[in-house]
Amino acid sequence: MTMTEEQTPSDGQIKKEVLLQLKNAKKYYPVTAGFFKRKVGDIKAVDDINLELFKGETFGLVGESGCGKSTLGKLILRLINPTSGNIIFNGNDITTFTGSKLRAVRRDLQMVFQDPIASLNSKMMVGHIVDEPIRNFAKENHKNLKDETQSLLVRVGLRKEDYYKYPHEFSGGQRQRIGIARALALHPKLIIADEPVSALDVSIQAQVLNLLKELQQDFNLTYLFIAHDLSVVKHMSDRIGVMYLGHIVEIAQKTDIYKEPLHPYTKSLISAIPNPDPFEKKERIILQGDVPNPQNPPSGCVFHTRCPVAMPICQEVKPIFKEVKPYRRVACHLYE
Amino acid sequence: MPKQKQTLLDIKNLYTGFFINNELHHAITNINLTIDSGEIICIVGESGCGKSVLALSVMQLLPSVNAKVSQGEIIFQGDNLLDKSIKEMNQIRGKSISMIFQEPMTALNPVFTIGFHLIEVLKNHTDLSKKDAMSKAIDLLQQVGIPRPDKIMHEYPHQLSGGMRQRIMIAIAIALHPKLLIADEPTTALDVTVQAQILELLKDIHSKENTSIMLVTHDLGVVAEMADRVVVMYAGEIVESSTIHYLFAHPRHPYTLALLGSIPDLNHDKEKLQTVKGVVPSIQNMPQQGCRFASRCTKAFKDCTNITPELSEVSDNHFARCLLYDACYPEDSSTKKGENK
Repeated sequence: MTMTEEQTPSDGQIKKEVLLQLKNAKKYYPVTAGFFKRKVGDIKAVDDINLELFKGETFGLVGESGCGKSTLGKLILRLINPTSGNIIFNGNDITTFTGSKLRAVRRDLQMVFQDPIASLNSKMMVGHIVDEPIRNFAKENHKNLKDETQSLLVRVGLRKEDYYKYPHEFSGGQRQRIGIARALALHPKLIIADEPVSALDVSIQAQVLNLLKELQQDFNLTYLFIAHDLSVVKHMSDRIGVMYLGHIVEIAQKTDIYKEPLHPYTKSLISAIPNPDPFEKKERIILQGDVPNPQNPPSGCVFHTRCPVAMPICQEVKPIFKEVKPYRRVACHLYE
Repeated sequence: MPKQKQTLLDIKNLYTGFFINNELHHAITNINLTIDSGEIICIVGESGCGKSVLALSVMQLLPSVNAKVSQGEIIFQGDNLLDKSIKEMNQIRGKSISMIFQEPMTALNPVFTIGFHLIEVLKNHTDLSKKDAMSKAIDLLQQVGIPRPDKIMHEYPHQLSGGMRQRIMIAIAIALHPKLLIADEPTTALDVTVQAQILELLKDIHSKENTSIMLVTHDLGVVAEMADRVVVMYAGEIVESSTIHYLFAHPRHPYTLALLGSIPDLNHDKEKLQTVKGVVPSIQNMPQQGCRFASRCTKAFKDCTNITPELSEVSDNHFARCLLYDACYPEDSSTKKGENK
């Protein structure tokens, strides 16, 4: 795509150090048919994404289910390999890293998963779940391992004795704390939190969100915060990217994006959030229909089939993702 | 809203419990609730507070093996539902009261077509011919905003998206113009944009057919959007109930306050969210005495663990279960305030 000039890293208000950069990252899953598994098409889970994360910030990624947010998270961790494009972490292009080189990078990249039950091994002691990354990576000495692990448990709001317990003895919120402790064990630079609170109740959700915020300051972490709940994302993030069908359609500072969303999809997404204030009745933009099938995405702008302000050009030409206002990038023909 | 309010459903002193190791533990205790015709009432609370058990008690869909409604009455249009036989209940379910479940995939049978599901309801309760039922079903699909209804009739649940499936569930639920629609977390499994569509559809049905809706949810945003009246539940009890505007403007019970404080606000930035320490007690270790919220409450004082608070009227039609507002609380108010600090 013709995106080289536009994607200068100018979103940050102050000039900040770039920790992670995605350049034209793509992930296509082949669709096969017939006895010989002939390839008949692609599911474009992540299509041509340019993105950079600055040190110490929280970048929120929102979008409906199936828009490719989790795929993007896994791409960054190299849990799956990109079809094309580059992933640059801390100045190194890690796209082609393998073996011991990749292992070294993985120390700095950790993940907190959505489902706190499925992501913890039910047959392992909590202490061993949390210190496994340390045993795996830090070859030096394991003398203080137990103390280290216990202080880590205390740091995330659990107790020292919890070291000897098993995951089923904990509630959902506590299990998520275990997952966070494990992610912190190696003092990573970047944590990808994939829907870390969507399985939790509101009061528990608040505890975990507060914890994540505290830890960010203490450990100087950068977060990629993936969620579908826009109010949670707003609470957590400095900048927000909105995804639709594998594309990022808008990136902006969080205050800008909520005050004045530019892309029609962002507008409708924000207007669809139920407002917990019965006195304020707001104008609703209700989208028609569902997200199109990613195997057969619409031509031109992928959003044109549901867009309330679609123009004829939207069906034919794919809009370019570019800066339209200071620190704001949008992919929409309205702003060209 | 009609001026003459008519009580449609009156739940009196309801207790429902489950047998765990042959011992009955109550999941909901002492529930008193009325729903007027044409009213939308929201039951809100965290998981495990008994809101779904309440909904299932009304429908009498709880597993008869290990669950039991041990006390109370559920009076629907003058008749106690608990006295009805299974056959009579089958007549009521789907016709007078119908239910929309949270997970539309598990609620629809994967081996039958959408048309089959719809026609089944119509044929069980009416004597429409198959042909008439077919055209009625297509009408219903149109009513809930399904595109190409005549094609969708012959498709299977897995071919539809989550939002479409939930629309099918709604179509089945409203097929016979029920008086009461119970929706148990109807939008929890859906995306926000689809959630907005479904809520709009429910509002539409409500205003067109004057159906009463009992909406069970954990999302206070949805509550503010939909409800006329709100009931907040905690650990199997109603802790506060009021009209929607009054509750959001003057929440009284500490639990309601905490719940409202723990949601991130879109309009105002909060640096830190208010949290509730601890977790909801499980039904086996429910405190036998005192307020059930006492161990997590920031305003708890000595008597909270000894004296069980009653649901008392704080102001007009606004009830709260808290010693701070309990008129019958015997101590003089000076000690109350002193300890409250």
